Amino acid sequence: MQTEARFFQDSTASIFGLEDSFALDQSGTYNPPRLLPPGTGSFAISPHAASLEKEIAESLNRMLHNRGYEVVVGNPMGSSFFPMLVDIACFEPATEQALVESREEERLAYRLRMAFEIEPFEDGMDHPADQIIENALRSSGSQSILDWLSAFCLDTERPNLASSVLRCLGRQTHIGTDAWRAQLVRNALATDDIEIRDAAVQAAESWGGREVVNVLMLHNEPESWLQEYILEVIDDLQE
Amino acid sequence: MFLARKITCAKWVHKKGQLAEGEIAADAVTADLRTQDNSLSFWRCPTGTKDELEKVALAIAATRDRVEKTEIVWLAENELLDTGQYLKDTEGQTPVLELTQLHVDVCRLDYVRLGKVAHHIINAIENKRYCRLSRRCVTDLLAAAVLQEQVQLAHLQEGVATEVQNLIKAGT
Repeated sequence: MQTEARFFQDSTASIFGLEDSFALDQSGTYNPPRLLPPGTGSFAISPHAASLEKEIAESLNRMLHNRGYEVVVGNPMGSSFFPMLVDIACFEPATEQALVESREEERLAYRLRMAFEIEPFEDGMDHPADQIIENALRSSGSQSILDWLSAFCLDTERPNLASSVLRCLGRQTHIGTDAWRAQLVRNALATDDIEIRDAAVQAAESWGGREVVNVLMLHNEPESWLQEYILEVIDDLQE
Repeated sequence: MFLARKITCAKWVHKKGQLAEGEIAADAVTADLRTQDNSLSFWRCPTGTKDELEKVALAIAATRDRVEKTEIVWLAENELLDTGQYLKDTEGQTPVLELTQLHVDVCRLDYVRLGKVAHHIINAIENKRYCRLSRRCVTDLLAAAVLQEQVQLAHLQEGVATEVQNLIKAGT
């Protein structure tokens, strides 16, 4: 049991030299359960939990045995730490869909931030973020990615980034449904940031459609130059 | 004489609560005043009329990957010179050949002179020397230029050429 105590108290797989297999950062420090708290969302309560628990325990025991430790990881220790073991063992692809999406979204956010940091959005010019968004939509295609992108575009704490993403979304002519697009334009126009509102008008101009036009018609824009432009876009779209 | 340049107006609008009155957003400068070889690209428009500005928009739009709105601001040449800017006539990079001679670089820009250009842009916007051409309007300009053989469709980027072609087809 000494080994088990060392393993879990220290939570350092480096004791066993398992850095390659376990989720350690570069310094060899294990960051305790990141996304798998026991309970809702945990893989530990999924239908595959029992078989995976057994497999993990067996794998650990094999590795421990190979390194000369005469211990057995099993119940109740294995069960108690099962969620963390799953996390340590990098079973990310097999985790709940929500967790996978969450990590994908984190990566997507990072890629978008980097893309716009390297090269600001420019009207009329293709931007690397166009492809990043297109790929994300193609690989996911789920409502959650649309919702996430929508929320990203409405982040008034980062209006430059948000409006840039919204302008890129406007270039995706088949994104979401008419209702989703209209809702995004409506929400963006409701923000108090002029860059986001301007991007919303540009997206509306690109998407067109009756619902979007209705949103533009109902919007009361305080900035006169943007209001003039909204009227022009409405005219263009109604032609 | 005026010198015109493409901008994004929303970046230049003062946002209450973020910067003090009169301060210029760095995002505007880093996005809209990106220099190359310490130069900024401008297009001459002698009196700032609608026709002249549309020529500038055409020259710019013909170089793009996509048809999108084009926002233009025009600055007084004498005001630029008064603040120590250096101008140099250069050939404009546009497939609309008859417009290439309208191009001028504000060159030898350093940090201080770039800041002064930013102030000129703010002043121009405040003095209504700013216009925005919608996506439809830009497409119309390009289509007219193609029909009048000012520019060849083959010299436009694919995304632009397709939209222009569609508009021309729809109109015939």
